[in-house]
Amino acid sequence: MMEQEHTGYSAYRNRRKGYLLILALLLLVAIVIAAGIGAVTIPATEVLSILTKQIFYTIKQAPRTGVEDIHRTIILDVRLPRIFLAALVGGSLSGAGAALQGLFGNPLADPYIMGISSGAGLGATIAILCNLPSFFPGLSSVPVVAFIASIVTMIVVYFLAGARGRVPMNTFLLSGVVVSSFLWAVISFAMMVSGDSLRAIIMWLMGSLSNKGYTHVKIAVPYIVLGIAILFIRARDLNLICLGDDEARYLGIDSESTKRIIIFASSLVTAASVSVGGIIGFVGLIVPHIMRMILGPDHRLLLPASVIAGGIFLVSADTIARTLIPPAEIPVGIITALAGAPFFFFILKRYKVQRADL
Amino acid sequence: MGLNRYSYRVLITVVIIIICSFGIQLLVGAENQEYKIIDDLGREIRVDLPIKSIISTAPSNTEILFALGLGEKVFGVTEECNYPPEAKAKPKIGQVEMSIEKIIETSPDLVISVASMQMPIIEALSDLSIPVLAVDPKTVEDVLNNIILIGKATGTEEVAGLLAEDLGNQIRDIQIKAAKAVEEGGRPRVFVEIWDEPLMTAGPGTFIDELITIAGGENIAWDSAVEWPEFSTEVLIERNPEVIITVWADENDILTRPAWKYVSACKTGRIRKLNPDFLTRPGPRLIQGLSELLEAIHPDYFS
Repeated sequence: MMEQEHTGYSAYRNRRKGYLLILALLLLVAIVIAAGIGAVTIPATEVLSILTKQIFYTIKQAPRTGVEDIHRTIILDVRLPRIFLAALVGGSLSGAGAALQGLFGNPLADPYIMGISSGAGLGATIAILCNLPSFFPGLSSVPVVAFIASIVTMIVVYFLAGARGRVPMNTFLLSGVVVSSFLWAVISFAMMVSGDSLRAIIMWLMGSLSNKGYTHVKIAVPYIVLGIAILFIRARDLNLICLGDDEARYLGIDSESTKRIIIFASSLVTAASVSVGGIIGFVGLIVPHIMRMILGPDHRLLLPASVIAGGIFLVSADTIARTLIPPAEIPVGIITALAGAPFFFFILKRYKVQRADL
Repeated sequence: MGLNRYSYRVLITVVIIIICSFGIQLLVGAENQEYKIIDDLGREIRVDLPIKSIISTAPSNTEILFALGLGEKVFGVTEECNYPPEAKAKPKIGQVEMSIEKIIETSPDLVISVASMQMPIIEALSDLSIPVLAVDPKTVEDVLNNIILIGKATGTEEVAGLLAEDLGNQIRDIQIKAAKAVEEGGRPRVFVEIWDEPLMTAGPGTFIDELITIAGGENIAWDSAVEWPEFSTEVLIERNPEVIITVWADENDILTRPAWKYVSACKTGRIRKLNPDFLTRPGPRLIQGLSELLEAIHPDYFS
């Protein structure tokens, strides 16, 4: 790191904080703008007044009638939970992607490379096919079964790859790819015999945040916060592992256990976000790359930056997804791929001259 | 230079073959002319009556065949064909993908398929000279016409005519009731929930949309550019449906959604769960779906 050598570590730390502060402000702006845009047009002044009233006074008990009341319901009960969910899911996928790209030393790694998405997909497909009743009021069985299935998949992949206590990273990647293809074959077969539920399965697999409320935010938050906290704490160890197993050992890192912890934390956040959002692609691949190109490979900056930027990216993509062809919406996975790929190439072209480390 | 004897022989043989083949074609054509039918793809189908074995590649067609009293002659249906109950006992020829081998094994006199999804199988069977009648219903009226078309192709034209007339009368009866209800109380706003997450509904171009209009309601997804859209929750709340029809989620699941508590249908409890087969299958039971929709949308005018 150039900064470290020339101006000292504390200056670098200040710059790091600066970057994260700017990103956090951008996320806040994105959330406010997203809350103001929707298929139903609500004037900006009204949006701001509803939001500030909600923040500074508790007026939930006040009787609600009239147009302003419908607008308040739309902003507070429809848009905001969905925006929070987009920020959580985007942040999780992007953070997990950044950690796994570092861990595997593989630019193609993303949160789905370990087969978690296919596990969640199979769980969701089964829940939809078998018409499983909901376990909790206000929450369908689909996210719950998807979460359980993705955790089971993660355990299977891990044990298939394990060799005498050590988990070689290449074996792990291969194991993930193989389990993933197997599960996708099962999903395809299930779709073939699904009849009327086929469309619902396809829509789920494409990834969508449609009709999601605070219940989804509440069930996903604990796992996501826990997983991301673990990743942040282990950011320094991840830097050392990137140097190589031997180097990490000389520097006092138990690389096997660190790898396990990072894989566990990434899997946890991925499983939680896929369960509530479906398989939303490109966020976990592209956003970490963009952040690495702009900010460099230090995971202490890269991981939090990727989390916030992933949130910004998915909040924006979902705003486009729900407003482009009203009153219909587009599954957000289509938008992330459509918008993400060209944007990535633009960034790649712009930064590849400056940084050769990718 | 003149032709030699060998060339003459060849030439004469060729001419004789050509004349003969024309003659055969003329004869064959003359024999089948009375049973030519144009299907919904504009293809000309030739069938030899009486039909002894029929295969149906769609639940809607199976229902039509049974309604025409042809159940005995049906020798193959899909896994989805669950009505009438007798249809479930028929040999299965596939689900989404049909098994061509099983169809050939049955050597049916007629296969009845749907145009929209089944082009590959229609082409493959036509290449094997198995007669395939493709129907492509887009509206309720098309369904009545399809019943008559299938009647013609199977030699049950009379029964089909009566069935179509009876269904047409039922539709007119519902239309009259609905018109009276609309005149007195307007068109209630209706939302049909096909799926909950993502929230999906039926837009213009679907049978559901047409049935709602006939039953005197207004589909709140009237301006969707997509036939089966993922629908915006906030637009739903703004348009405030008075009636919600659900085919998947339970009434109670809908009532527990926090953002939906101000929706008129949730406040008044006018949420009704209906069997999607009545609303989406272009067969005779569509009229039953229509009748249930009228009951849900205009309960006072139903009986």
